[in-house]
Amino acid sequence: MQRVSRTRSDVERLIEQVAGRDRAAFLSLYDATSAKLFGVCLRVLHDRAEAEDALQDVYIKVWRNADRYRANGLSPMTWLITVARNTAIDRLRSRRSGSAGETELAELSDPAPGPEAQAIAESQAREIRRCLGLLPESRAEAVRGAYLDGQSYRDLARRFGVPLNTMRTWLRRSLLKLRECLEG
Amino acid sequence: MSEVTDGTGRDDDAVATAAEYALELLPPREREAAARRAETDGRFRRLVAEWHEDFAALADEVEPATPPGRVRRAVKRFAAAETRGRRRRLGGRLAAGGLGWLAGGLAAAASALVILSVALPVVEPPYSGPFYEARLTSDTSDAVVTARFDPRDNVLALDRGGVTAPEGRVLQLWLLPKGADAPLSLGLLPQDPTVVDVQLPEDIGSAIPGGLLEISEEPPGGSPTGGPTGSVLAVGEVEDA
Repeated sequence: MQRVSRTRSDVERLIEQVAGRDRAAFLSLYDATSAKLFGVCLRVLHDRAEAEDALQDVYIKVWRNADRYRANGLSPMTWLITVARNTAIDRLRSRRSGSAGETELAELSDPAPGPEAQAIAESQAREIRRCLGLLPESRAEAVRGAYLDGQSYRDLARRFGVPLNTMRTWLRRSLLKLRECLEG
Repeated sequence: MSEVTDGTGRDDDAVATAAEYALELLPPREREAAARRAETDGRFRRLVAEWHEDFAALADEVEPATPPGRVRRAVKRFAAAETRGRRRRLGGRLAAGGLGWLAGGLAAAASALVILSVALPVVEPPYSGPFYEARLTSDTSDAVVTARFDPRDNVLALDRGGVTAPEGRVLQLWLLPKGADAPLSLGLLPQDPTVVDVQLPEDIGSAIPGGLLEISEEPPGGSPTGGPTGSVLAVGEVEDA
């Protein structure tokens, strides 16, 4: 299976062809991006069967919304990753609301950057890592936990042992610092 | 939650709220407010998009994982079902392998398929809502079926023309709602008259746009299983106006 080594314009062209109901392009898009998006779903859900169901939902959404992709102003991989992440988080949260207690999330896996994310501009990835590196480590981990693991404020408050409101104040301040750095 | 603007012209509250919205951290009410704001406030929408771009760059910390082949097959089947009506309208020939959408629940009927091609051009509505019309033709005969759906009263007007059920069988109308796995029965069609108005319940009427309509031939009294058991004589995608 082909890894995400296509350029932005390749993925963008495939999305446009999918908007034109091109099934071959749809499968090419799947082959080019499914490993990445499956990784995103697995990271949030920690369950292969659920991640498989989520991934299927992701591509159904991609098929149905490809014609509106242009309007959202996102780069192609960002759009796909955002769809995958949101689909997985919806599933995670409905799973939890259906159970008595909250599922304990597995610890963050070691954030070793893989070589497969070339579709996101390398410089952009370096930039957000650099800027997260300027935050206190726990704050940077909170941002990663919220984005990559779909952790809610409640999860984060528990994880860092602080009241919910404190957690929110922390994170909002950290996000503002992050934005300042990203624009700097 | 509000924060004081720092005097540089940057709206800190909007920047932080846009990030919380992108991260899906907002409580439900604030989330709804942010969603409305993103629709109406271009500046806020751009802030959200910026955060999405920056956060998505974090996804290269995620190890890719190859999903099992069954996901690809399911996705492929889905796309095949979705393109059926459109491809037919473009005059493409239906390949035997293109019947994947029937696999779930309809496999028994697949061997006896006679598929009619369907065109559902949207008619200019005499009112502000949508309106649909269908023209069905057969690969194997000159039979034409027309259908017209009026969402104002949920009536599907069907003219089956020369399409008839085989001796001792009846025609049954089905709807496969968008995203559903199994078709719903919309009822049996009488042998006479050939033009009928099918009054649909409101919840079924609302599932017509984007769904697939089909007609099968069944034993007297209709399918005993709740799904088509005989030959499917017509199938086509309904599109939103």
